[in-house]
Amino acid sequence: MLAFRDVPIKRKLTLIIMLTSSVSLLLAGAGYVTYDLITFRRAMVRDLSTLAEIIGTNSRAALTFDDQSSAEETLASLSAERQIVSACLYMTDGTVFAKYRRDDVNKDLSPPAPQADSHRFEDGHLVLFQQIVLVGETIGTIYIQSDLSEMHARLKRYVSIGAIVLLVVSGVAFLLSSKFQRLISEPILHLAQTMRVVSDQEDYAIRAAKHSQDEIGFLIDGFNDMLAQIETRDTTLQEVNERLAQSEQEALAANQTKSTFLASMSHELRTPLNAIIGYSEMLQEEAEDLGQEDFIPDLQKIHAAGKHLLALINDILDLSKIEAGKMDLFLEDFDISSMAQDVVATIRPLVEKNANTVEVHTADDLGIMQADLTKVRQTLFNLLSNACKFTERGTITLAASRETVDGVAWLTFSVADTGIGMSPEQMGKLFQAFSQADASTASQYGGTGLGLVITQHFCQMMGGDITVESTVGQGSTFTIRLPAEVVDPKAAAAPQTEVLPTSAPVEGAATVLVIDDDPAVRDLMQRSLSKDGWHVAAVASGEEGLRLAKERRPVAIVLDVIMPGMDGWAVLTALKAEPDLADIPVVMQTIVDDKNMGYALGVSDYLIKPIDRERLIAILRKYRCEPPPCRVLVVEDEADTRDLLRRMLEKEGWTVTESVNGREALERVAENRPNLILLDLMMPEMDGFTFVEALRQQEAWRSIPVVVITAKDLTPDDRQRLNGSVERILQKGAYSREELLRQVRDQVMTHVRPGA
Amino acid sequence: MIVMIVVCVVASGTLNTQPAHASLREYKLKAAFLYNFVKFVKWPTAAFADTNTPIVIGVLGEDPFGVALEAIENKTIGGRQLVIKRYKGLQDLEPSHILFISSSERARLPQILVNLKGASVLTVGEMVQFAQSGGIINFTRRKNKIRLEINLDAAKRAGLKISSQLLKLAKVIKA
Repeated sequence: MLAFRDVPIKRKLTLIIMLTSSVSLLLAGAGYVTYDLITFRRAMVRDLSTLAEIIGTNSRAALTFDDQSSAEETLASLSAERQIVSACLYMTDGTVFAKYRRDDVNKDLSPPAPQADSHRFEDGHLVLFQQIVLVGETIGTIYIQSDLSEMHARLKRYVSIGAIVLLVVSGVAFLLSSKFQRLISEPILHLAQTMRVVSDQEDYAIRAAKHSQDEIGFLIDGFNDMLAQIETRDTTLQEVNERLAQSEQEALAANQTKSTFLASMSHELRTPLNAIIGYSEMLQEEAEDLGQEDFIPDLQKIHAAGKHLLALINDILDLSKIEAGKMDLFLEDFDISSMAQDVVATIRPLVEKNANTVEVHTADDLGIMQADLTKVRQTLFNLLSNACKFTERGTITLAASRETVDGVAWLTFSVADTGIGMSPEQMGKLFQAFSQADASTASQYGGTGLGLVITQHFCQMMGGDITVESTVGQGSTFTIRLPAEVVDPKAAAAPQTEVLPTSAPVEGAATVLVIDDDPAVRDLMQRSLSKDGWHVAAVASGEEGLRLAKERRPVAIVLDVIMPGMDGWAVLTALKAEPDLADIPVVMQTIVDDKNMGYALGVSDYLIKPIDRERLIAILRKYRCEPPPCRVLVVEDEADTRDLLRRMLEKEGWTVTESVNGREALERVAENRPNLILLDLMMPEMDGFTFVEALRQQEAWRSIPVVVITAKDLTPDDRQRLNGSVERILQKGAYSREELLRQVRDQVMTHVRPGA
Repeated sequence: MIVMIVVCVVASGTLNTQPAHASLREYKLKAAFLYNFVKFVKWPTAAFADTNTPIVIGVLGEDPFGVALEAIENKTIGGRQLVIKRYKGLQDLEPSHILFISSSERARLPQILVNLKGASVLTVGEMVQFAQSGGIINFTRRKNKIRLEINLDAAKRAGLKISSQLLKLAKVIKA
């Protein structure tokens, strides 16, 4: 039965029709035959009865007049009816008067005892008893036995005819049904076919053809309606997708605009402020030098105002960045104790302002943490400055400790003061932007109201948290918890840091550290530099590099700019932060890919704006020429910054030449070769990179140290642009490996002599 | 009601040996025959006044039956009663339906038959040449069995219809 269900429709219909016809035929035939046979039987009985009657009547005289031979003669006439097997005449007393037996019946039938008028079918024969009556009197009984041969023959005939008819009917039914099943099956098959095509080709514009108004037509209509719906939905979906894509584009564009805005705003806002702060500082010094101390308080006010404004702008821009989701983490390793000491040193003036004292309790096992140094410093600075602001003649305590929980190391910083404290209500408003604990405190104590919000964000970004406890009138304690190894969720997977086996240390050979994520470069450097007698250590990541630098104290570091995770600039910053490592000459290079080895951007150092005087002085000392005066070329498009630099440099006894862009700078270099170049990267007309490239092309100028001035806030976009410019430039050049190596070697040898 | 069914066994010799016994048996048979003749002969409607008119069987001449006729006397056939009448001579003759002419009247047979001309009487005899002479049914004996001779023309002249079945059993005589 299950098999029949899966038979194709055409065959099913045909089989059903054939089956129906055959069964109907059989039933009809059976009915008819049965009726016929019953009728035939009755007829047989009637006939036999009639025959008995006739024979009986004809035997009356013989019976009456006791003429046996005549009776037998009469009975013998039964031989005409071939079905009669035997017959018998009985007299009234039951004795047999005459007998008849069909000639082929050989066994001697003993006639049964006579009975009343009756007939019955027994043993395949029909037997009949009938009374012979003469003038109302029964004078005898006649018995006739007939076989059923005719009935059987008839039945056989029927069966064979029936079989033939059935065969013929089946054949005809098959032909007819094969033809007419198409009426049903064709539209269904057509529909099935259409469905298949639609799903194979995913073309929803196809429709099934409708040829009839019956249920199949209805089915086809429904199917077509569905397709129409799908088509519509498909179209709508496509349109929606297109619109979405467009919206996405627009959103991305808007995002991009926002980033650019933030970056440029940052730059635009800070530049004039730098001038204000810088100049007011300069003027203060000059006033001191000139003994015009009356001007000093005013200048100090200007300076303070400028610094305050800068702080405000920094905070606002930070907050905007955070809210735009554009605040990124720049992870690096740094020593915690020294960072803490640094911050405290910075905050000291503020401490003394309110006649407070500061204490530092740092555990011995603080060690190093991997985090965003800038943000951690900013956080601590924020807390400490708050503590200073709200405490008078009190004590401010900075404590730092390290603990390991479930295998993860955590650092806890707490800043406690003995200041005015806060009520629970005030604490509730603490981390909301622009609210200080009280409206009145703003005017009394100053501040931007944004510091704690930003601090909280920074903590959370680094996977930590900030909590506060306070009692009114007694003081407050802010506690920060940060993981010792901050993970930047946005960072790519850290590159494998494998240290190439260094060549066997030659006695007295110095080590050059190569930091580059490209294994080909590392290999290359190793082989070529060691040929020159250098001992080469090559690592793949900035972190590894810093570690190794501390261990091995190389005489020079070759540093790749474009690296995942901690990029070249970050490494450089870290190196400069380490007193032991700051003096190691660093050759920054970047290579685009294996095939297109690019130009080595040899940058010896860099400064961050606003320019810290102390830093600048340190650099100048490094690159001092013998004998003085040393010539320095300043390449900077901002007039104020340029002026500032000039004043600072001249104070140190350097001869300053200025240029506003790279092109001019080249002319200046040609006129008079400087001992040092201070270069701003972001310039119109010819930017820093292009300048350096041009510079390095000249044999004579290759050895001039270039110190790059960059903005404090190099967004990743800025860096990307920086690195991008590098890429752009480098791709233009098709420098060979040898060229590159020569560059590197030159740089290294300029600063260090082998064997030293 | 008893019907005179004769056993289909050859009672051969009985008719020959003792005339008295044989005679009685024979005449019992013949009486039965007479009785049965009624069943196989059709008289014209005029022969009976109405449905209840009895059937008269006459014996003319010397009565050979004796008590044998008692068996069929007053029996009913088809609603009619069977009446036996004996006539000594022609002068005593009354209309009857069946007339058994005894062998004693052999000599006067032609006269009798002439007398009966036109009357619907079944004449039965047991004389040689009876049927040829004009009698209708004659008893003969063959192989110790009673046989019949029937003159069909005589029956026709008498207006009687004899059943073919009876004729089948008999030897048909043509005068």
